[in-house]
Amino acid sequence: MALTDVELVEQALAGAQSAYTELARRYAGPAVNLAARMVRDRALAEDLAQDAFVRAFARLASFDRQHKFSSWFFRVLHNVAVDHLRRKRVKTSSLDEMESAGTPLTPVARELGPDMRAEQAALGLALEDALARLRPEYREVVVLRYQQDLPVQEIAEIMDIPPGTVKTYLFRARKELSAILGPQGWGESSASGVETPSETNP
Amino acid sequence: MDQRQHQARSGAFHDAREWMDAEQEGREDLAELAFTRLMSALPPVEPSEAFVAAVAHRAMHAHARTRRAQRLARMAAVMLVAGVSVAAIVALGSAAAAALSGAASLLSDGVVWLVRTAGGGIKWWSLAARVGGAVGASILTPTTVTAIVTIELLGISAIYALQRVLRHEGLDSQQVHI
Repeated sequence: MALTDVELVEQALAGAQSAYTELARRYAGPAVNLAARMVRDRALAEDLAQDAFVRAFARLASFDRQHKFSSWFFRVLHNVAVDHLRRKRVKTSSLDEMESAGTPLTPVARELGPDMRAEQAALGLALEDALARLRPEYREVVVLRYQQDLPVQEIAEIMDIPPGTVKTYLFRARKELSAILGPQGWGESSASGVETPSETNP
Repeated sequence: MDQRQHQARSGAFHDAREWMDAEQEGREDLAELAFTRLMSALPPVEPSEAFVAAVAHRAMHAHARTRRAQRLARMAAVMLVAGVSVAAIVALGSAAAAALSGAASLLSDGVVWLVRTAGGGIKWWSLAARVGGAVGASILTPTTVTAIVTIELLGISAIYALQRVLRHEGLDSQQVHI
């Protein structure tokens, strides 16, 4: 029977290297995924995720067993990623700012053809591209809510913001994503086989 | 297109269409459900194969560095405390010797003065003032004051060093806490 996170923490604090490794293995995927969505750079995401693990392991004794380890660890990762974004002073733009600045929201090219797997992959790419255009905090709540399946309260604790703000972020993120993907034709009758012409992204 | 591919395609595009239709119509609950299905199907960014090993390697090295720093800090704190103790013994020893000789001198002078003035009418407050002044002068010599100040400074330094060690071992619990 697999050990719980708390049991692994206890073993790690007792000096068991294997416990550290197992914790890293369990949360490697979610950590890299969340970091990658926030910083939009896969290699950088792995570095930040490693930093988060090292920091978390160094402070393992301060983990409160009354809470979930995943929440505590995501909080550490959130702080690491936010620190990085602040240092780099990454400018994020809303859709309105991009449009007013003359940045066209050109649609991503879709591969049309009989290969349904490629077409589905294209939808995934379009969704990822749209996600990358959101603000980091919007991306973070979307990933934590819809990919990590965390409740709003837990997301609020991780990001240290009120639950109402989390809901607002989720609402706005969804609206912005639909505003990006709608003009690309993804929401139209593609499934019925009617091909919608789209511009090729330069 | 076989049935499985048809279902896969229909699922993804159906969810996307249903989501955006619901957004446009203001049907928030339906939009949320369709968007949830769509996002949950989005493949996550996977870590590289060497990621876990790299994390374990870095964590192990960071742990070793921390333990070395803690050992050095403990050694420094022990040496500082030992130095303070030796200094205290020397200083207090000197001060104690000075106090003893001062007390002996005071006693002998006091007895002589008392005998000399016993017959001339003693004012008790005058007597108390003279005794207090004599005791103070014998204790608060420059050497004693210097010794006391030095001991205090060394003690403060030792306590600060010990606090740093303890804070490091306590792993700064105020910074990451839910």
